[in-house]
Amino acid sequence: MPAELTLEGVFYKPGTFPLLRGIDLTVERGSIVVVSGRSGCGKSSLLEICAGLKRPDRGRVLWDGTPIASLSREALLAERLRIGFVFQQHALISNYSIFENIALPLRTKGTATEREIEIRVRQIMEEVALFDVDREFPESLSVGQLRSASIARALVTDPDLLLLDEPVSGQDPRTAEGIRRVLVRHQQQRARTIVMISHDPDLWVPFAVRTLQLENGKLMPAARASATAVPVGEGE
Amino acid sequence: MKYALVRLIYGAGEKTVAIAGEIHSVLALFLRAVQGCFSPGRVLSASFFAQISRQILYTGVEAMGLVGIIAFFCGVTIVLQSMTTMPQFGVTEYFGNILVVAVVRELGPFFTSLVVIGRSGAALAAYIGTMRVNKEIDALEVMGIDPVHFVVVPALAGMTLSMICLNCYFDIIAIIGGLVVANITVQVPFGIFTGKVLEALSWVDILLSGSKGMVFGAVIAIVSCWYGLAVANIRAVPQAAMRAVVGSMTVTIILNIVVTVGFYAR
Repeated sequence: MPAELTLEGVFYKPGTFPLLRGIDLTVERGSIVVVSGRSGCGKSSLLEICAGLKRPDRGRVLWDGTPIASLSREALLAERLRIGFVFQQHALISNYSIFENIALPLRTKGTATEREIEIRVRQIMEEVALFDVDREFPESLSVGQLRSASIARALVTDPDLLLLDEPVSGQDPRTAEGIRRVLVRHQQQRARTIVMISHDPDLWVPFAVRTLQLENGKLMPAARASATAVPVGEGE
Repeated sequence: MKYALVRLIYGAGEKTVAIAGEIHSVLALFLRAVQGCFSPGRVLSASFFAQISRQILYTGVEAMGLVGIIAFFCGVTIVLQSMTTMPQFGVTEYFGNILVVAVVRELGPFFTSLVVIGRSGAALAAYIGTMRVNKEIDALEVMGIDPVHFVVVPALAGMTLSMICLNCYFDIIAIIGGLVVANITVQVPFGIFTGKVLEALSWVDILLSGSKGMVFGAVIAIVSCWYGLAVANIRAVPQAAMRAVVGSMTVTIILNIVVTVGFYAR
């Protein structure tokens, strides 16, 4: 079975200096990979390349063994329904309410009825501790709430691959812990794949299969990496 | 000297290629949006129609006050000017024709497009540019939603419909303005005035006015969306708004001549 996500020799140079210098990465199905590194080293660009939002200058990205560069625009959009993405900024649609924002991927998928959408959105909002904000618009929420809404939107369709950019930054410790539990449960119970960026990889060490460090455009194993995933209950 | 000439030619060539590339890109966006109008993609139609309604509200309904005032005074001015000038040539009965030629054929579509460009075109470019900077466009992409379907198609449909309706509204208010001033100043009865205007108005005039409204609405929407989508950073947002205004005005003025010539050059 091909890996969920593969990067082969990815080289990316947005300006004068290359950010990524020949990244090779294989992410197996059902694993968690945490990437850390100093600010501005190219972690977010790496994640956006994984999602096909940015094109690498050299190298290729494969989803389930299929190079995304070979997909037509329609096929790429269809494949992206299997992906959940959390941006560093919340990236919620500003003229949609929080409920509408979270429901949008479900509506796009087009497989659920309005009743099912309502139930699923309320369930996921509860899981990420978002209460009484469904009718609010993004501008009236705090940074932490926006982050939670963004995570809820990424999780609502139960995607095969989750790409998360700093999922718990800006959260209070209790909410951060809650989101950590939701993400790990999502990965372990449904065997989903997670690639995330975190400035504090130690938070994820008990759960992460691989903890990697992005340095000078290269990915290398981080100093403190655990060998195997730990069930959600044991890591807490 | 020779070097300067080579540089000049090189610069002109580079600029021409860049402009040709931009025109190609705007036309490609227009074609994708037109295609999208007939297949709104995977986004539910309820959300799609809500966005079109919102665009009509911003572009059409909220502009009615300003367009109404401009139209009224436009009609008043044309009739006043006609009544002071036309008696010198002994053609006082042709004020209806003047009003139709000036308002319905030319000033209606032109003034309406100016209002829409200034109010909605600039706002649309800034809004889409901000969406781009805030990664909302990328978020749509990653959710499997084509941003052209989600952002450009509702803007195109909403602005085109709004322009056609606003244009019609402008013509009616301008004629009412002319009618009021004619009645007050030279006591022309309402019935005679209306009769003269209707007599002067042909189906070609109505078709021309509607066509201009449709073409200008589509141009303003596509040019504004294109500049908005091209935004790369927050500093480029006000520039996008400004360029959308300049670009829309330029294309509108050129197409105004093209459409007029197309209708009357027979």
